Amino acid sequence: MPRKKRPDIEEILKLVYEMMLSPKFPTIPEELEGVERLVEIAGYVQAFRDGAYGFAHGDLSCDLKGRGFLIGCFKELQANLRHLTWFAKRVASGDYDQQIEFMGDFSEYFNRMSRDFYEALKSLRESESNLLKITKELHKSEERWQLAIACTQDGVYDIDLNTKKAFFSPRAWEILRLPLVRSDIDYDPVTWGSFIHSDDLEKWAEVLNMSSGTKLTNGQGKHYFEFRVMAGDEKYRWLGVHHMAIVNAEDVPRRYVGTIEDIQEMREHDEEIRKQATLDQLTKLPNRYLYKDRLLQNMVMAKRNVTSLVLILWDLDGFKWVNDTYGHLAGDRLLVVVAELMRASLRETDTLARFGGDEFVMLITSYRGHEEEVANLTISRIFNTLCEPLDIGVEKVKIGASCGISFFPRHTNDGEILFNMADKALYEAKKTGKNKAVVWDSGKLGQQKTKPKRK
Amino acid sequence: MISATDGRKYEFSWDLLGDLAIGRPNLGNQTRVEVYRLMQFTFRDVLESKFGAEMTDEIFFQAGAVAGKEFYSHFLAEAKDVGTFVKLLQSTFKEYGIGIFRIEAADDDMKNLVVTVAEDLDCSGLPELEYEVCTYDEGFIAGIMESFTGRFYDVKEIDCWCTGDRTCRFTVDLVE
Repeated sequence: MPRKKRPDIEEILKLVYEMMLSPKFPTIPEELEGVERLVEIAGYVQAFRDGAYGFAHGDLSCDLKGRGFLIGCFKELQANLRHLTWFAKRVASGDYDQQIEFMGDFSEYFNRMSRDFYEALKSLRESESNLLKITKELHKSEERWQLAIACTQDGVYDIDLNTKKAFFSPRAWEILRLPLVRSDIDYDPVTWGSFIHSDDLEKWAEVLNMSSGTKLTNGQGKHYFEFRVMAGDEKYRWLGVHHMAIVNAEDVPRRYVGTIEDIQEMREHDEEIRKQATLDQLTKLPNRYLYKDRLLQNMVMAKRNVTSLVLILWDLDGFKWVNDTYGHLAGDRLLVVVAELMRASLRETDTLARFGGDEFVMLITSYRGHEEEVANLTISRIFNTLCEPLDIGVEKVKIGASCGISFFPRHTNDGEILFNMADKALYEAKKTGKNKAVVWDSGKLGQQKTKPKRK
Repeated sequence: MISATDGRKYEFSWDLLGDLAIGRPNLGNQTRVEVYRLMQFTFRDVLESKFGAEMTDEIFFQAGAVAGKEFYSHFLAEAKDVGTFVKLLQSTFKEYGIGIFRIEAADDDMKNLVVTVAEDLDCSGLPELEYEVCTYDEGFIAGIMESFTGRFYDVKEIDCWCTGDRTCRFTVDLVE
């Protein structure tokens, strides 16, 4: 048997050195395989190297064989890293409540990070909760808004002056007699203005001025407009618009909101009431109230234009006979016919009013100094007309008329006195033969102290 | 006075731990780890000599399980979810000086876990003995897990200070 070679210490050290440092694990030479401690160390080092290589590549699953301080520490490191992995998994699943301890600075930073995550998440959840609450309230508010829009008889609009977009509620489209448009439309004040009635353009101009970014003095501008708009059926309709400007910090409108009310019927009704209050229902001529208004207007204009007025107060002769003979309907018909004839004898700018019964009043504008001429011309026309029999339906009748005349301002500057003067002149005409005209004469008629009674 | 039931003399009750505030007004609840270990390893010595090593380990495991359940009911029962349970477990282990408890790996349904207890009360610092000695810990952990989940667990120590490792490592597996 050849004598076994004694292990060379230098060779062993070289081998251990390579085990520890060489990228490639060395092979134990055959002559050293019998050195048990060396083989044992080689086993530990190899396990250590394999594990460390795995760690370096993120693999913490190695099953470290062997024992001893170095392997023990390595296993503890493995245990800690795996613990951190588990911990990170908990954090990733939303558990921010865990604490890492006894890992030096890492514990402090990781725990701080985890705590910050938790606080951020808590804050985020609170924000989310608030947002949900706000969203819920918003939905409720939106629902109320939609219900209000659905229930109201008024249309609603909302115009954003920044985006130039406008919303109109379904009812608004209905009022405008236009097909429903659910989406926002372009805000185009100029085009919209072309649908406004020409008499109402001033009101629309107020809206346009506000639209141009005019600074409002009152912070928020609230306005009410009534104007006519050409509706989808190509007829003008009266709209009542409650218009409110929402302004920004610089007091400049950034949004308009308001309601649109269909006031067409109300306007028509008002007009009818107005007519009933100011017009004689039978002849459709102005009544006593409107006459007074016209008289005042005409007097003002006459003063301003240095012109004059001719007041002619008419009373029909024979009206009672027609009434008694043919009945009230025939009498009414006679009044209508006479009213039409008188109206036709005057200019558009002149006024013809009925005071009730068979009494008519004319207010005629004249140049000063030509009052008699104007009066004569008018009276002649009327007398000529009344010469012909008048068709009252059941019969043709012939009647006459008397009138009293007074001039403004020649006779007086007072409207009431002016009428009284004509009234007295009329009385004089009636008294002195009927079917004639008498001009106020202060020398002759002015001596009468009480108003004469006329039939 | 605590009376024995069913003819038993030493059935465990938490009250047996006594009122330390009254009983140890000066020394309080502090003691030395050596004293704890002195008692445990002398028990091992005597029990082994009378019943053998295997039975001794069995007794220590079962005693640990009883302790784990009691420990759970007194310190951990408020935990209703895994996160709270683990956090409470870690803090209580630390507060009572049992060790630094960490979960190394755990599946989502808590069926299979690997846990470590560093600076373990039973074994850290012991000489290498060629075998794991933390059988009491095994039972302790099994008792706690059983109490928390209501299911039985097989707990086995796979690394121990006594086998040359720096931390005790346990596999905790649900007994299906």
